[in-house]
Amino acid sequence: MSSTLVGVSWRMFNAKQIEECREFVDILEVMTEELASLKSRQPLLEDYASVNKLRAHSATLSLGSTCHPDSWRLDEIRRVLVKYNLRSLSEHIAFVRSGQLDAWHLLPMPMIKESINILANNVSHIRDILNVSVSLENIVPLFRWADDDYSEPEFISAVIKECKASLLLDIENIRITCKNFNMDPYQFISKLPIESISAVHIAGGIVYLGRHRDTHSEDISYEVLELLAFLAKRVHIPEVILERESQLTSESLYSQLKLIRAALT
Amino acid sequence: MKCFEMCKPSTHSQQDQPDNVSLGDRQRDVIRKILENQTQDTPRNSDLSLHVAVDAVLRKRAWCVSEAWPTLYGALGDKYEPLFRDYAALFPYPPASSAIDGYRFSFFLRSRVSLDSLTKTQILSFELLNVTKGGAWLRKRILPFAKAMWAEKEGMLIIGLRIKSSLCLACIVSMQRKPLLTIAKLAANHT
Repeated sequence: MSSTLVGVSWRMFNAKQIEECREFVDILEVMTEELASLKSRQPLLEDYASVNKLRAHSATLSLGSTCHPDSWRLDEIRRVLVKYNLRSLSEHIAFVRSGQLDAWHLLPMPMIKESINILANNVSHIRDILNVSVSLENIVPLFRWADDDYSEPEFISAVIKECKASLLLDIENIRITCKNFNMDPYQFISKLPIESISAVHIAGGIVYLGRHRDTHSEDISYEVLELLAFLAKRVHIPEVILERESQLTSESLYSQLKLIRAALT
Repeated sequence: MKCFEMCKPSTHSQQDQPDNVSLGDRQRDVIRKILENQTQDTPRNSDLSLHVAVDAVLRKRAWCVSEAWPTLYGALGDKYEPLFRDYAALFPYPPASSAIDGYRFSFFLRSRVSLDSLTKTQILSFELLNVTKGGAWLRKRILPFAKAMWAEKEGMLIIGLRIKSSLCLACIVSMQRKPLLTIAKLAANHT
């Protein structure tokens, strides 16, 4: 069994720190939207891409919307994929907009069969257009729909199956969801199709207005590291990506990566 | 979710294609209620916890604008969030990009706070590259264009000249202290 690759989500504001920790970073994930907006060359990303250690992640396609993603968004992503020779793309099990109304935030879909069909249709569409394999990520639901027919693990499992996608499992999102909706994260994970995991996201959030939030702004918690260790004992995790959307020092990044590696052993 | 410079407004495909009326309507309903902070009304077939979504969406939007407009964020400090909440209450529907949202926010701020020269330089750069009207973004500017802006806080006149599609020159002249002429070449990264 090959070892797990441990990496970090690359953001422009953390590029220098990541470069400084380069020898400890096996793999990088980039936001396609950020990369599309950058005019300058990014040699670090090119280096990782050249050895197939760069992954594309997107958050604005709104695969849960009832119509196909905007073609201009797909064009921008395609340019990034071609430029870095990337063959896979991850997105979220969520909707962001409906028609002209844009929430600019990942929102949960009702967990019903109709939602699964919509996701499958949109995933098939982007797979055809972009010629990539697709991974889908679980989100933190900010609210619940009243007509849910599935539990969340059931819904994620059905989505992964119907979309013929792999699972990008965000274990911080599971920790937060279980805190907010009073569920057991270990049982939650046990009900997921963990054999379909292509990568794991890990991050640190905050508590605000009595709810746990997925802000990617804090250091990872021991609770989430325990979840990672629990998962690693059950299945081989190909890749673990640390998500961070606030500035951090290279020392902090190094210690976070070290904690992740320790949890995997 | 993250936010980025999206150069083009959402104008096609999402609305051109046949919509799934039932679920599409429900999604629109939820987004509208979240953006308009109508947490007292339960959207069709959803639960009552929308107030959490309202706050999360607003904070995300404010964060996105702070990323696109770091000068605004730096200039306002602790006042940033309350002022942004006031702005979002007035303009609940975010535009196509956080750069445009930030520009509209800066327009909202003009009559409320005195902005510093750095922020005014960013506003000027935005206006040199984009056609705007009354705080609204209209389109990218094509022809050469010059504009001046007064930064009362430092007593500076900021003069900008757009030469090529992605470059502008900003001349900053101090009117209060010793005369100063700075020519800054700005790679305009925003739309």
